[in-house]
Amino acid sequence: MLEVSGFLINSSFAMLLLPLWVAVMIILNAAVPFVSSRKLTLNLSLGVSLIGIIFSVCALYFCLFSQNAAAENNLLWLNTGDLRVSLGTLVDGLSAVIMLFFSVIFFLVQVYSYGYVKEEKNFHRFFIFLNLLNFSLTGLILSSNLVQTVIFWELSGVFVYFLINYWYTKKSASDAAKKTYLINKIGDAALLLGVIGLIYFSVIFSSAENMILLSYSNLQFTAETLYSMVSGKTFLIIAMLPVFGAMTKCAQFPFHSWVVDATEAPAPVNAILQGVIPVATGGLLLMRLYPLFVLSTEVLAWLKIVGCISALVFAYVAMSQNNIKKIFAYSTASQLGLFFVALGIGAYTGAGYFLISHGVLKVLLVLTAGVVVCSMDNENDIKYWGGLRQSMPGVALIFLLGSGALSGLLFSGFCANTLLLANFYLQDNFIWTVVILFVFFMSAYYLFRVYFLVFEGEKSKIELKKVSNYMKCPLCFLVVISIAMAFCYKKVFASLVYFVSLEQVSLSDGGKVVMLFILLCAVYITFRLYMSPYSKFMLIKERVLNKENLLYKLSYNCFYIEEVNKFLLDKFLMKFCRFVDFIDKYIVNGVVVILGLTTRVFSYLVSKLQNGNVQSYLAYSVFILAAIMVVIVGIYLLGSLVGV
Amino acid sequence: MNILSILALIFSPAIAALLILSPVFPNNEIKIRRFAKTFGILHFIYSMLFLLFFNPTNFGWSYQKELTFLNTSWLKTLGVTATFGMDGISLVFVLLTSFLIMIALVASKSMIRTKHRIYYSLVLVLETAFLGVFCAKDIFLFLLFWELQLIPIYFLVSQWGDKTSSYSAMKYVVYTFVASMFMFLGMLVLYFYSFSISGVLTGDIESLSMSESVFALWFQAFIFFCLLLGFAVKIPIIPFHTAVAKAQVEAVTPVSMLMAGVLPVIGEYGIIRFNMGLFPEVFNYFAPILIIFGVVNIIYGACLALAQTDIKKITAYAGFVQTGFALIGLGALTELGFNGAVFQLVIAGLIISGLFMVTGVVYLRTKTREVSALGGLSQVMPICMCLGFIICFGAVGVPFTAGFIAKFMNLSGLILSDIEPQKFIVSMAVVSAIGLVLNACYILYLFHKTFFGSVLSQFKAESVQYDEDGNEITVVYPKRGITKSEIIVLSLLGIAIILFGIFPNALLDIFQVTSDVILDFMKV
Repeated sequence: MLEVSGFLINSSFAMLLLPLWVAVMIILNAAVPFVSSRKLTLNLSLGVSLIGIIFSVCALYFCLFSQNAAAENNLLWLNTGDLRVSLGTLVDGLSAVIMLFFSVIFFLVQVYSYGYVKEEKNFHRFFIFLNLLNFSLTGLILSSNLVQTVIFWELSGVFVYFLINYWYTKKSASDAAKKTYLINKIGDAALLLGVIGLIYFSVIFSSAENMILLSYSNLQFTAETLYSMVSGKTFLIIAMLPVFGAMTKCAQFPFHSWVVDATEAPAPVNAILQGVIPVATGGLLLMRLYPLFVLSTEVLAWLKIVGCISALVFAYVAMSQNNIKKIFAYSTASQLGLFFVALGIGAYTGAGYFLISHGVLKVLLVLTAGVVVCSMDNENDIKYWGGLRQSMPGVALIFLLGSGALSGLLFSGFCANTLLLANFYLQDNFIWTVVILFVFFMSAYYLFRVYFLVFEGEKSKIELKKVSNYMKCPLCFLVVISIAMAFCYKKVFASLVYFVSLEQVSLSDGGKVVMLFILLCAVYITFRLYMSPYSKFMLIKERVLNKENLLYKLSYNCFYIEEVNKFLLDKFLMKFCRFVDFIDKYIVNGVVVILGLTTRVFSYLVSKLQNGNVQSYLAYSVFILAAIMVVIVGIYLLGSLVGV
Repeated sequence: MNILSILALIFSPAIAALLILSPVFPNNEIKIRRFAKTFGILHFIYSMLFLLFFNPTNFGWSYQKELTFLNTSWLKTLGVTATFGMDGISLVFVLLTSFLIMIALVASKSMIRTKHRIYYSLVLVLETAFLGVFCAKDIFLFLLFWELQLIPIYFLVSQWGDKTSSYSAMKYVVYTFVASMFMFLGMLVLYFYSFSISGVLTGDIESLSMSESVFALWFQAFIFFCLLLGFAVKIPIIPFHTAVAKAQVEAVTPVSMLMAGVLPVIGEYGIIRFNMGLFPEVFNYFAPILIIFGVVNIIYGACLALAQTDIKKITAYAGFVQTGFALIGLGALTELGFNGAVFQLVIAGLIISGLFMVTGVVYLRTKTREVSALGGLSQVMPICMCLGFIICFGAVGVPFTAGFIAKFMNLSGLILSDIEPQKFIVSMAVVSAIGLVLNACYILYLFHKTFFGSVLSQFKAESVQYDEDGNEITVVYPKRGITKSEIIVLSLLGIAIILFGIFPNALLDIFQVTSDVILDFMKV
């Protein structure tokens, strides 16, 4: 077994290029008009994902039982000047775990996608870009150095753009794609700048010829050298820039709006955006660069602040939304905020587990919501839904289990939440503990609100459409994965993903009881508010959940952040651009035009002297001669006055 | 190699042009077009042979040859010879020029409808002028070819462009000519002062060099800026861009492609060859100014592009942004930045001519360039959109397209620079990273406004339109909204962009030794 996995890991370049090859095959398949088959496309993509699963299981086995903890392959790619960029693969505990998560989820999402787009005209295009995304994310997860991460990071952004833009004739979809790309471009630029800064110091400080530039296996050393060499401020700037990159991909506070707008995309793309992308890009980057961050308390504090704002604000916003897709989008931003706080507080392993658990559960919920939306003929507003449990009991059960798990009552969600709570509690930080409990409370509220409004209560009048089984089967598997994850925290996860200097903690039984109590309280309140017409709760409902209430308005409109952004863009950036255009047109160009005009006027005046009279020509020459003589005499006199 | 004659490489286009113009040649537009196209392809293959037999480890000039008239040098008494040669950088630019001319000749098929004979011969004369600039080993020869470009460009812009294009052609020529007079002044001063020191009249670039020990710094700086002004208008460096932008926008598409693709390369080649090669001390002193110019090009150009509503204007300003990245690489004075600048110039030539081609294809079919009147073209011209997206993302700088490598090299070259103070370099790098974001903004804006959204009724295939007199005409698009020659042009450019994105060293290895030589000279 160990030999097999060793062989597979050594051929991980093939693993990287396989999705690319499949994408080309699908293009060929789509290009042949009569032979092209949709089943073949599906089988090719599923095959490559299956190989990915086998590979990552082997990698996991290798990392657990082999003597050396990491296997690395590198290839020199760009070699010019002082820059020697390598592309390569690094298989260690972290990348093996995330690779397993990614390939399993991607397999299931592809099965689901087949059911989702099988009637579409552009079926093949969807799978081409799914495979290209697979390629870029595999390259990102297995990346051996920071420069490679930047390359595949930006590449994944492009394929995400094309996937969101799948229905490009719809203006809202193409606008969402553009917005997603541009907001992520801000993060890309920040990350690129940070990495270039790191390149500067690693080129300056190390002269070794055959070193891999910014290799992850050497990052601890690079970070410590850097910390001892440069001033605190420089170090802070360099460490902060990648955090900005991660903030955009993880939809943190000022950069969250893309994940909300991107809900225009097909449901499987949405699931990838909210479940897979934050894990494979932002989350992975933060965990990879953790040796850099722990050296500076300011960076950790920044992680805490950003995460805290996002967790609280977006959980609060999600409580009042009516569009089911937007609820999950805000929920994603809020939960990833908790991940940021956990990293900031030093809970490395716990944060990683929470991130992956959230990924699985969010994919589960978004895909389930996709099934419901499909059967309701693309109606997104949960106010028009209700009583769906009678018509689709299986889906209702899965949704209930998913919500329970994500809010922390069941399965892997329970484990993840207890881990976070333990880390917060043991930091002796009362405020953080209260904050996280409050976020847990709000999450349970909005998740069960969706469940009660959609699946319980009065039955809606909309006729249900039949949904293909391809879309339902992956949901069951996701629940099973979540259950399985709950059992493999200690034995597998904690022994693979750890940070040397940080100890791992677990929550006491009393803490678990407190957490469960608070979550159940939230569920009870939701139940009372939306299910039973009990007088006191109805009173609260009328007072607080009222369109006129300021708190409700803030939540419903997401604190007017979008309006502020729009204002800044329209009134500030575009005004500035028009001002620059004005300057260009009338001042920069004006000078040129005026110079030309002056020449013309001057030549016009001179040409007036040309009148054909010999007398006036003679007069001009006499005048000019006289002028020249005056000048000469003047100079002579001046010279004699000075005494030359 | 005997078949590889640099004189044949440079002058064969002009001879072909004469052949087309001569009364012997049949006055048939198809024959003229096919002849020009075939010649362009053959010329590109011929210039590829030069690459094949080029020794990249050679330090000096390769393929050196002198053009003599009856065994007598050109202007022998003045010490001016017509000597041509190539080093790594020249070779890369020669290949680019030959490639772009070939592309433009293929693209002319659907864009040019009148006066074929003169058009094709002017393009070929322009090619000779371009190649002569890159291969000239003598400053006066350089100047000769430099000025020779203006004649074909004037006629190409004014005769085949928009309605007002004759004004903008005149403006462009006068503007460039005034600037190149300053350049001429600088060259004359250089020539005579070198004579007064060495006692030998020579115009050879390698023999002319100004070192601080002989001339005062202010005097060198004066000549430096005279030369820089001439190059700045060609590139163009903002604020000397107005005439160039106008001419590029109003010219017909293949001419815009050539102007935007080759002219910045020529300008920056001049900076490399003269400002860097002849004034190392002064260049070291004034390099930060070049960086500032580059950053201004990036930010100012991006802001201008964001404010435009004409797709061709957006494209023209996008070109200024691309050359801005090359300028910061040049100013950084590091090996990485210098290589990045040369790489960026080649790639910018491909990218910007590609963007002009896309806008040209759209304009030819929709007869409008206003973004508000465009939209939803993805449904009538899907192939144009697919190929356009490769070029679009090359311009944005996505990894595995050449644009990314170029921008990455320029930015890291800038950061690695030794120029003091460090804060200046860092802030310039930050501002140009903001420029990267703005760059993505306007290019995506251009593509979304043109291709996405719901298709407007007048662009639907086989829709009914009315011409100026009110007569009903049916517009029938060619299959898939694009012709074969346009597909060839766009896909060749796309292939080149992706190819150099995946194998950057294929291009970098050609000129790395040459750039080492130039930078070593700078450090002395």
